Amino acid sequence: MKFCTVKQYFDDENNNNVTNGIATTVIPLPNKHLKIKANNKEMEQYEQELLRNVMPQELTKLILAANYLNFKEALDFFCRTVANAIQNKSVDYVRKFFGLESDFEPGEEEKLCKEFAWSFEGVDED
Amino acid sequence: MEIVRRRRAIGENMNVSPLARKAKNQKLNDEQNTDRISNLPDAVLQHILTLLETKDAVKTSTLSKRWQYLWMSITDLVFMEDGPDKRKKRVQFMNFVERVLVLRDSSDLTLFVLSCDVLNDASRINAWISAAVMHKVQVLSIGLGSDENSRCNSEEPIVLPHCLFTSESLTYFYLESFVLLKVPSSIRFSSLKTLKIRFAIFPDDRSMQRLFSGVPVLEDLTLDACCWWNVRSVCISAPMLKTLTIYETVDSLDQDDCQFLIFGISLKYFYYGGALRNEYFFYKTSSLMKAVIYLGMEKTL
Repeated sequence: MKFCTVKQYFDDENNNNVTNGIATTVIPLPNKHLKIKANNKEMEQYEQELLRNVMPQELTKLILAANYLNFKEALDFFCRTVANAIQNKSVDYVRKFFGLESDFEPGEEEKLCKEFAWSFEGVDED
Repeated sequence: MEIVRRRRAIGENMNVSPLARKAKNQKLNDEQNTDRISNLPDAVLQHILTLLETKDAVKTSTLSKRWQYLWMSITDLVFMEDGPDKRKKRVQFMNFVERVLVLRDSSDLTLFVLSCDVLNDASRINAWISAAVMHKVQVLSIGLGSDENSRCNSEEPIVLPHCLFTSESLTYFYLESFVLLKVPSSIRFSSLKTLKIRFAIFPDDRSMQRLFSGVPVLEDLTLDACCWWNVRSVCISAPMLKTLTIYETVDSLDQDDCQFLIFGISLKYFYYGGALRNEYFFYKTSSLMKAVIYLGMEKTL
């Protein structure tokens, strides 16, 4: 049902996708879901509490784990958290958040910014 | 302007196969490698993009080469021209919408929201709506403003594209527009379940009849502060209509004097707010479970 690949996870000896720390965060989620399944507000509070202890950088690892374990609700939740974190932020902020570096040729990036100029207006302060 | 946030409700068949298994053998000792996102497969990144506002999703094209084209298959597009200096940014806004629609790939759209003033760009706006319909959009929300905010601008009727009125994919349609709404001679929304029209001025009896006869599976109809001066009578008899909501305009004390003949074979809920500017006749409403009728002249209901 929810955890098609949990068996696989435990079978895989050389599992580098889901480190122990991540597993302890992700795996209890479905049980909690079942317990509070009708009560969205309680689930929201639980999720907020969970995230308070998680660094933003860990989020991508959580997403990777949830994806590997085929756990749709957790994947959706973590993706929403990332989306909220980068909403209306500058491109530089988002790059730093993801640890990305621009690999565009000089001038390419400026062309794109010009093409979509309206979307670069009114971003939040970094 | 009602913003339709149906992203999580509609056909969420996001098929994210665990492609991350490919990265199974990749060591996660990436303390040296600070790139935290490239391990994720495209499908997951695109899911994140779908959860962003359209302008933020499109902006990610400048993050790096990998991200340059990822946004192009997002299923929800929301374009809202707002803010205190929207006139100054008008050209940029129009160009932005144009570029996004041109560059987006041919995959189906789920949601398309457009809220902007018409000004002199009626044909461009119509082209955008046609594009959304061509991409089999399911949820469409159009809010068209005019400069003077006048409700009697009958020299400038809004003529939406014909293909919209024969869309087979549309399940939810919200239209808000202070102008005369012209409807084509052939109307068939074969999948439309929810129709909400706000502020529109309806032209005559026959076009209203065509509209309300062309919605065979309609379940929820809302007519909010519309103008019925030009309509003498209209018959609403959608066989599956469960919820009917009518809010009358409170702009003046004049009567609109339109007769509504409502055949409510499946009608369960009726909500009304207004001062009885029109007359309402109900037939065959044995299924009616709840009716809320608010009589008053207050502007806000």
